[in-house]
Amino acid sequence: MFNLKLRVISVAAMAGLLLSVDCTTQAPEKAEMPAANTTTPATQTEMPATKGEKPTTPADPRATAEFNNRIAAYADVHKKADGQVPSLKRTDDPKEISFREIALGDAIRALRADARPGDIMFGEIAEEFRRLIKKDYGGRSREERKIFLDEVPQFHPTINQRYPSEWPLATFPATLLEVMPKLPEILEYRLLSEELILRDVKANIVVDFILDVY
Amino acid sequence: MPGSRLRRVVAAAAVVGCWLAAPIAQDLALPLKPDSVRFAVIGDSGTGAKPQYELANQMIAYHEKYPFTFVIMNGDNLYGSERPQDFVNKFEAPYKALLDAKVDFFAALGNHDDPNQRFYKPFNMGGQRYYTFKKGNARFFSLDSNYVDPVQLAWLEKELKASGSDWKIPFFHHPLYASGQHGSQVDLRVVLEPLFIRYGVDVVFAGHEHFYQRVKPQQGITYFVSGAGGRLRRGDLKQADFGAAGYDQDLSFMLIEIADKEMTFQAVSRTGQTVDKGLIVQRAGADPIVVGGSTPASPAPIRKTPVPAQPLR
Repeated sequence: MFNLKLRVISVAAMAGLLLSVDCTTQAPEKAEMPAANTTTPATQTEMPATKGEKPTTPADPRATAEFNNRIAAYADVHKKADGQVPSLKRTDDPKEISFREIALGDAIRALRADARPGDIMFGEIAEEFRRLIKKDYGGRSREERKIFLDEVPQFHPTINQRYPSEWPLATFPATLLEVMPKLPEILEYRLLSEELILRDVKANIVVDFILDVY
Repeated sequence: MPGSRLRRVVAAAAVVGCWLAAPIAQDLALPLKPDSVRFAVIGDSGTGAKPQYELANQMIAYHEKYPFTFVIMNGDNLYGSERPQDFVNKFEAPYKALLDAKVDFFAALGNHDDPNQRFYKPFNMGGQRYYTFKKGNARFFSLDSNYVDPVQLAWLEKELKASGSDWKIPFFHHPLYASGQHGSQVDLRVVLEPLFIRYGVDVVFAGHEHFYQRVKPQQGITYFVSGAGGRLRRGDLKQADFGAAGYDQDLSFMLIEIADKEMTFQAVSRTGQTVDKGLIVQRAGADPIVVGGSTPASPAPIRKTPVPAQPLR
């Protein structure tokens, strides 16, 4: 059903392209995908963060250990959900990327339907993150704060929501990442106008958030 | 089917019309040396709007004169929604002629890009958020400047250290030096610049600011901002001590040629004007020689009285 919907959307888009074409481009008769590049393979690059690596944050070690446990538990949920849907791998077809991302998000949502804010970034670790972010933010000049908040999304998140594509992903300051606990490659920290969120990179969903971080 | 026939006729007429009205590359400032590394640079391109297509057509016209074999993309490859049709409207359709000519695109992630773009084969990211590849005597490092964590930094250091290439060229979205609305990304500079200096990076390309800017060599490294591949922030280029040249009056892209120890560059506007051009010469153990300047026909001044920037959205 979903594939059918995608096909209808694609056909409609191509028809729109054909009918609205002007002299700025050639009108494709169909969505032609370029051939996969086989001559210039990119080298393997990413090294996943190791679970349980010693964090550089000065938080209570027990709190950090508990945070790492909860992250590991989420990673297990992600893995289970990933096993239920076609895995996201390299493809010429953007429909596959979109479909798999949405399917993975749906599967995770189903597996953690009862998730609540603070399930992962719980009390003590949330306080520590607030302290780290406020310290970093407070130590910046006015100009640096402007850059810090540059294009920070203004929406307020809910757990398991899809990260809205109309909002950019605000750059997470590299200097702050140096002191935050490392995350596995499926997760990342992101800042919103008032919140710190944990975002599932592959599923593009908000996994957890905390308020009042500046 | 009469409807399909009509559509085919309309499409064919559009193609012929576009061919007749296609821009002609006006002024090639590159030497076209044998066996040189030839590529183009775009940034902030993925709007799917008419100006992006017009600039793409200019790239296609220049490709006739200067057959570059690949394009690096400095991020914001797809603005807004990333539905399947957006990959077509904002990437495949505007650059169709280049893709058909087997020109490879190598993307970096911008702050408007879903990191899952790394799985889209035509972006040649190998499924990675950051990656490296080599062309001739140049090694390129595509970084994810949205999220420079210690893991990425460790990877970059390892790759830079292992690179025996003559030219080391990182490209990513957020500029370490720029004088526009966003400004220089000092946070990034703190963590990246020491590595660039330590391991002999030569040239860096970035986007994010919607204009063209060339920066005076900073500790031996020449920085370019090429972020007007689809969006323009007209009049946003402000006076800066580090600025060498710039252009903020129209969309632009860059053409680069590397031959042995020389890199020739040319920045071209949507109308085909050369807005900056020059030469960077590597010198062992010394700062590079950078010779550059705008053409008399299209001066590229750094504006002293900036026009208020247009909002992004």
